[in-house]
Amino acid sequence: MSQSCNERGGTERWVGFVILLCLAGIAAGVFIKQFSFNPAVFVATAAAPAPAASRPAASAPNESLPTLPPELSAFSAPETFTADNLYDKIDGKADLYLTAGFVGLQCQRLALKATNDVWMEWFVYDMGALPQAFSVFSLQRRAEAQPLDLTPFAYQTQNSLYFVSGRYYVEAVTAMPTEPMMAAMRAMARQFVAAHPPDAAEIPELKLFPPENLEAGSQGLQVADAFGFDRFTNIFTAKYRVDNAEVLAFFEITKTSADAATLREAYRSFLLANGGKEIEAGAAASLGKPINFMDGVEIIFADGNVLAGVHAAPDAASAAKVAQLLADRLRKGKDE
Amino acid sequence: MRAAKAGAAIVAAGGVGLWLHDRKGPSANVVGGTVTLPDFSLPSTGPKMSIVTGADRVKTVNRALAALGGIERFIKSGDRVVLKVNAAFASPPALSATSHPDLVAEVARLCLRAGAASVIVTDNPINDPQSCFTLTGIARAAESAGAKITLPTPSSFKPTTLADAALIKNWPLLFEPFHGATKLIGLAPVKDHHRSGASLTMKNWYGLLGGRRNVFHQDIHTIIFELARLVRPTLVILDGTTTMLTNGPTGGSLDDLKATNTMIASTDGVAADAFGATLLGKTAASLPFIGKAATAGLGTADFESLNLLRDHVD
Amino acid sequence: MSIVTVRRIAQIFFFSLFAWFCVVTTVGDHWWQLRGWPVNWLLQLDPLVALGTLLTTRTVYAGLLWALTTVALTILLGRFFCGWVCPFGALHQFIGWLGRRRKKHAERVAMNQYRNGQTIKYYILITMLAAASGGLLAELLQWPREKPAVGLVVLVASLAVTLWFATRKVVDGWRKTAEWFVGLLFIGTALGFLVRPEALVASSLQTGLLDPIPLIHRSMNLVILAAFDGLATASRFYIAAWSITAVFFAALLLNLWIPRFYCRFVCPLGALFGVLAHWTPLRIGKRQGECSGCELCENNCEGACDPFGKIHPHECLLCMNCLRACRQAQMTYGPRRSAVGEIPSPGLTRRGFLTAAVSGLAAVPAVRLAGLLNQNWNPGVVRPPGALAEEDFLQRCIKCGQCMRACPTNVIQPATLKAGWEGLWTPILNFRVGTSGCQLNCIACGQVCPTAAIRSLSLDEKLGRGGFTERGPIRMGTAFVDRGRCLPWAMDEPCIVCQENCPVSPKAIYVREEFQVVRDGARTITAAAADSLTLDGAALRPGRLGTGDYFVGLENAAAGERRLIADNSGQDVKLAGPWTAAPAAGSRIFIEVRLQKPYIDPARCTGCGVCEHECPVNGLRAIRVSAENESRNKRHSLTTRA
Repeated sequence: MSQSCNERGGTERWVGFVILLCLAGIAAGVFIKQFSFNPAVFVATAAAPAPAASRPAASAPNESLPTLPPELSAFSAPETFTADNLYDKIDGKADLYLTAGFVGLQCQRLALKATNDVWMEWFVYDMGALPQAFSVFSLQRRAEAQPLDLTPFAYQTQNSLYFVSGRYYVEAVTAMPTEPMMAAMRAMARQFVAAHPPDAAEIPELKLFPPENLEAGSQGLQVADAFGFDRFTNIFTAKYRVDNAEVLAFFEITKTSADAATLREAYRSFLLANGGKEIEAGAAASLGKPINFMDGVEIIFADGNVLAGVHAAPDAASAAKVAQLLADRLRKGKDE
Repeated sequence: MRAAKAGAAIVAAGGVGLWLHDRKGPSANVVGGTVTLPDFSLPSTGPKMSIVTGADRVKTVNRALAALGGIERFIKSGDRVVLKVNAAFASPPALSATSHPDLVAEVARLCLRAGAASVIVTDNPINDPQSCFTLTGIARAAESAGAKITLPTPSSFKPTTLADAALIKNWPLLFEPFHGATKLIGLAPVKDHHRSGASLTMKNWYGLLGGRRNVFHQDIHTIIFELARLVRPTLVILDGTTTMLTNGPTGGSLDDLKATNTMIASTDGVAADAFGATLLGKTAASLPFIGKAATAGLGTADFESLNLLRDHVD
Repeated sequence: MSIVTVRRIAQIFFFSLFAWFCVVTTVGDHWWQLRGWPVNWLLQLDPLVALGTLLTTRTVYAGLLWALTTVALTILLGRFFCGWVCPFGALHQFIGWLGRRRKKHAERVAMNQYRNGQTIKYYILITMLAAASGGLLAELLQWPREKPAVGLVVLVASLAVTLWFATRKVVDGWRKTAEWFVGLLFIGTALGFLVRPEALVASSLQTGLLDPIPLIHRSMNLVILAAFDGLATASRFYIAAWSITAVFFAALLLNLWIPRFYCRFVCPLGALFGVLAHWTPLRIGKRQGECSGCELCENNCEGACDPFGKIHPHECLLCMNCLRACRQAQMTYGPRRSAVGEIPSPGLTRRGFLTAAVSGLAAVPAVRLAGLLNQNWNPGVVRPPGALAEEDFLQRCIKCGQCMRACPTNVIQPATLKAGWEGLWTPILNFRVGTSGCQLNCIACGQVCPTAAIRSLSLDEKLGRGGFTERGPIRMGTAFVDRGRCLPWAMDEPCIVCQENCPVSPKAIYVREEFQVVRDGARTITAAAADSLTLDGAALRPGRLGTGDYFVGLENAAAGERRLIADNSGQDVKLAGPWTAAPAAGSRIFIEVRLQKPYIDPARCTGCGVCEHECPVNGLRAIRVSAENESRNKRHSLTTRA
């Protein structure tokens, strides 16, 4: 069985052709396959830049920014910041948030659809929990605060809104406080509160402050290093007006009476070690000797597991008065 | 013909390749990691606990199981059953310090008749395993019924950790009998216990621990409670036919024993123990481990509320 | 178009494809980067990879199923892969062709004659497959214990039959094979009863050492492309690349002596194809006809299969050169055997087979006596994230170097003997080499590993988020601060580069602040102003203390009574803020440096090595990652917490 040269060449040519076709098919297959990216490529191209970089992650899906009210539209891309790069957005103020348990910030500039160059910036600070949000809220309360009927902790100024909703502390700030803009900001705020119903709207500890002579809206919470003393980690404060003097009352709820007593002694030692001087107890003698520290009068006492007192009062008499009010209130609270 | 062989070879290669094809790849099979004992309990619809009085173990256990719906309610065809008995001591059956061999044989037989593919009888005894299983008569009883005995060896244990536990953290657990197991039945006698007050169905799981487990005796109620969290059996059978009233867990004198002639079968070990306590003349309240387990929601100490089925067989 | 031309096109095509795949194995979405290019396709086509991992893991992983295509085609056609596809083979052929271009006919025929040494590659294959089969053998040997009754029967029966055979003195034929089989059955059953087989034998995948596809990937990735990378962008370095280079170039250079030296004598994949081609329906051979005896067919015979005489079909690479060379059209490729006959078998002896098999089987436990998988484990072996526990890893890694090429920071390196002989050229992380540590948001290595020796992790699994929050992040090891070298610990030099660069959040490196009196820091004030002091003693280096880390502390002062130094000249120190009460001249002060000393939190450290890479103590780094606490082996845990 010998084929002629031609026949064999013919088979050979056909076979060769088929093989080349297969190669072409392989090339095509490979080319098509490269369009479906390897997961490593997706991850590498989608990933936010390394935390050391200062650029914020752009357009990450975020749940804090609700859909906008109809009168607002996005003016710039939403930005997200974590504890590592919060400084990049708010510089020195970041410390305030970081020590208070900051989790994340989402912010965006929003403009009125009608007049596109009137915009505001919307900041949502996730502080992790209501008390922490309240803390940063209270520590930044502006003197010219006007009431804002939104959540128990909310106020506005002529160009901005500040409020606490659940674990979020929200600021809305505009440079162009026209009436439509302010209205839009309030609408956005209402929408936010509706979308993030706080589970614990109240801070029950605040009820421990006696209501008489209390300056409205002056309650606050410092979650770290209050009054420069690093062992004060959860100090509730409130301002009182007595005899034309403004006095800051405070308390911290510790675990046990022993803890409160220890803390009291520690703070007293701290004050005395740093230049404080004990002075004679006046009216509130039962609360211990006040200490004159840096031209302010401090009274510190413990009632059960609550450490309380008065900080940097202008004179001993008003300090004693407010301290006594607080002591009475705490005792009454226990009896109830 | 070469072509045929070639064809066969291709088919064979293709077959093997496709049969063993693994698209997912290896799991994070971490070496040296802990094991978790599976949950063998069944969803509880139907009677939870039955109490049958009578002097003949074989009869009372049959009746007790029938009252709960029969062994078929728990054991299905193809099941691989682990029977955790009490073979802690190399003690003869008459002293009632261990599970009675007649009961072990009967339960094993019932499981196999219900269609179980295998029944493994096991325990990590306190004394030497070989002599324990032999002298208690459990080995012969099990094998006569068609079950297998698994004696613990050093490689039978793997570390386990119970979440949020104080004691069972990375502790060796007798894991070998549980390979492929689908059902777990606990068989415990009713005994007084010097340290814990009583040794009932929850204390029975102590026999699954390895290592130097006596260290847990310092915190006996916590360890029993953690064992009750760790082990979730299909069924427990508490044998109160002969109760060791005093000098438990080893007993020794026949005067320690009393014929209380009661067999309890239950899906709720806490309730079984609460009832078992009464056979010892104690209350559930006097046994802290019952309270701990009940508070944690592992069962109820108020066994009356379970609508018990009571019966008697001569 | 002659078939030889098509074959050349095919070789160029597959070589280019291979080279392209190697080039693009870098993470990115440009057309010249990874995108979705199927960069492992040639490795997946390689049936030795599939067979090796099949023996060690009893699975065929994902894309390795492609090997079925190669197997099927080989069984049908013969060793087409060697002649048409294999890029290493193409390279050998090319260099061999270069080498013999000036040679005369007689020399060429001599070069291409069949040599008995061509059997060696079969023994190499057997040794490697035996080494991979240890685990399978252990499983088989366990059955006597599991079914003791049956085992006992088999034991007695096989002993009886063996003895019967022995008395019969059977010499050859199927009876001899049967005798061997029964004898081995007896020994195996006895062993199964007496010992725990898993203590005796184990599996190790070493095919990657000589399998040409992983070999050429390794050589291209770690040598050739690395060299080119150095010219283009940042250099990529590979430790011990010299050993890989040596093997590669040695193999290539040997072609100048004997063409396709590697293919003929060494290649285990070629041997496997030779075995698979035993029953091919189609093969090269002579026709019935007038052969003139010119031996032109042997001039360029790549496989040295002796087409002129009795052809060795298992050596034939289907290069088709003989078809084209023969002027009498005597050579053909078809269903008929060669008219002058074949030598059907590679010529393995039973003795050779057994020696190779037993050597392979025995080598693994022998090597493992070093204890590298147990107590003597090497903490310097930090494997990529997602790597399996070491024993499983060594059963899958084919040392192809894809992960090393894909790693964007070049920290994955081929091991020398750090992981033992079995771990030669397997991936190990070295954080001093490369451009950073293991990037937090990168999953490249696992995604390119063809055998899942490094699992393909999702980013969530790697970082321990989403569904993996409870399991936590994958840890490769833990960083340890070398307090004898760390600048703040040992040298009074402020530095927190490691802490700053730690990429996890919250950071795994935290600092504790300490004030330390500097050397020669105890001074006496000669003159004091509100915010500056003049000091006695040796002159200070101007500006040295103005970095923001230096303070002046008073003697006998309460804690906290120190002031930051803003600047200094030779004798004067300017403070950043005034004293509450300025110290008097003559009083003692201390110049202190504020040191932030790094500590590691082992619960957070993933061993990514960025800290080690960034540490300014450039030689032996003051913070180094070692494999303690790696996720893949709980026995290497640092803490007792599960």
